[in-house]
Amino acid sequence: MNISDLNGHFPILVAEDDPIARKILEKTLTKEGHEVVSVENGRKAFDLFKERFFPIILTDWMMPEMDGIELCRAVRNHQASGYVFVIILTSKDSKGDIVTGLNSGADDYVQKPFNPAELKARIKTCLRILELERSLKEANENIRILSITDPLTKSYNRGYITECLPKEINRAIRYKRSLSLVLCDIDHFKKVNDTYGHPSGDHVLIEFVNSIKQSIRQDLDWIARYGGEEFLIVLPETGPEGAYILAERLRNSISKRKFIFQEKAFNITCSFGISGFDSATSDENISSESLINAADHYLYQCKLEGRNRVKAGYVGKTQSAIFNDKRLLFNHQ
Amino acid sequence: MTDVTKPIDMEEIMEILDDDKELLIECFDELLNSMPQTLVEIQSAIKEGNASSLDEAAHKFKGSLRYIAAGTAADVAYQLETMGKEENLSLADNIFSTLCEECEKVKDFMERYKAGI
Repeated sequence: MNISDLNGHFPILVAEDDPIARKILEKTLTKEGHEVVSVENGRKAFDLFKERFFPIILTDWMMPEMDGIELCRAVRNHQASGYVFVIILTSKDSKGDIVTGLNSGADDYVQKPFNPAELKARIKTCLRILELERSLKEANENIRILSITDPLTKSYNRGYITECLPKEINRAIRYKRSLSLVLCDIDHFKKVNDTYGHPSGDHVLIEFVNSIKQSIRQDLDWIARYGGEEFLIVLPETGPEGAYILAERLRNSISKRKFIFQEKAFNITCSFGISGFDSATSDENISSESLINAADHYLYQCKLEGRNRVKAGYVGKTQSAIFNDKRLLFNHQ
Repeated sequence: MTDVTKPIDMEEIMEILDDDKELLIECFDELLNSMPQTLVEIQSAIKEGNASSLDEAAHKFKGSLRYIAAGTAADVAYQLETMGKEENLSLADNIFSTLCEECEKVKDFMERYKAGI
C-alpha cells in the first residue's frame, strides 16, 4: 500500500470552535478525499479520539472547555494504537503560540486564516510521516514473525516455546483449565536423510508440520519445532485424554501416508509423548520444564517400546513427584 | 489589485476558499447569522468589565472575520481582544462602536453580494 492508497483512509479530526473556520476546513479537506470529523472544542475532540483512533488531528488553539494545547498534551499522554500527527492552527497575531504549540507536542502548525494550498501541502507531509510509520511497523512485525518462526517448516521455533508456553500454562492454571503438550518425533528420521537425501528429509519435515497444522485448532493450538525432527504441539483447553485422541489420529494417518519426493515414495512413522493437566490435577508448581520433561519421558518410553506409538500421562500435585505421581493413562502400540 | 476600500477583500477570500463560490455563500450566511449574537457577547463583556470574556469573544470573532477577509473589521476585533488580554477596557466602548460600524459595512457587503448587486 502506498501513500496515495492511504490518502482517503486517514481520517482527520478537526477541533475548531469558529464555525466558519470549521466549515472551510471540512470542505477543503473533504475535497482532497479525506474523511473529516469536526467538533467545536478540545474536550469533544478528545472524547471522540478515545473512542476512535484518528491519525491526524487539526486543532485550533483557543477553544472553550479544552484548548488546543491541552488537547495536544492529552493525546500525547493517551495510549493510542499508532502515531497521531497533530497540526495546530495558530493566529498570525501571536507568534509565541507556535513555540508553545510545538513544545506541547504538536508536530506542525498552520497560521490562520490558512492558505488551502499550504494546508494541503502540510497534510501531504503528515501523510508521508504516517506512511513511514506504517512501513516501519510492518517491517518490525515481519522481523518479529521471523524471530519466532522456523524457516524450514514455518512452524514456531524454540524461542516461541520459551516465550509463550509459560503464558499458556499460567493462563490454564489461573482459569482452572486443562492443557496438554504433545512431543512428537519422527522415527528413524536419520534413515530418511541417509537413504533419500537431505532434501527428502526437509520435504518430510514440511509435510509433517502441514498435516499437523491441518489437524489442530486454528488460533488456539500451535506447533513448534523443538529441535531436529522433534516437534511440540501445545493444546490449550485439552486434557491428556483429548490430546491422546488427537495424537493417535495423527500417528495413524502419518503411518499410512505415502511421502513422495522426486518420484521416490516412502513411509514414515512417529512417536508421541503427551503430558498435561486439568482443573483437578493442576497445581501452581507446574512449569514448562516439568511438562516438557514429562512429555519427553513418555516419548522416550515410546521409543524404548518399539516406536510408532502414543503414551500419555497427567502431571500435577507437586513438581518434584511428577514421575512418581503420574498416572499412566494410555499405552498404544 | 486588491480594493482596500471594500470591507471584504474578494481576491483574498476566494484564495482562502479555493474559488469555491458555494462555500463563500455558506460562510457569508454563517457570519450573517452569528454576527448579532457575537456583538451582544462582546458588548456584555465590556459592560460587565469581564476582560477574559472579551478576550475570548473578540478572539473568536476576529478569526471568523479573517477567514472572510474582512481585514479592517478583524483588526478592530483584534484591538478588543488585546484589551481583554491586557485587562485594560478603558477604551473598549469606543473601539466597540468602531467594530459595530465596520460590521455594518461587512454585513451590507455580504448582503449585496448575495443579492447579486
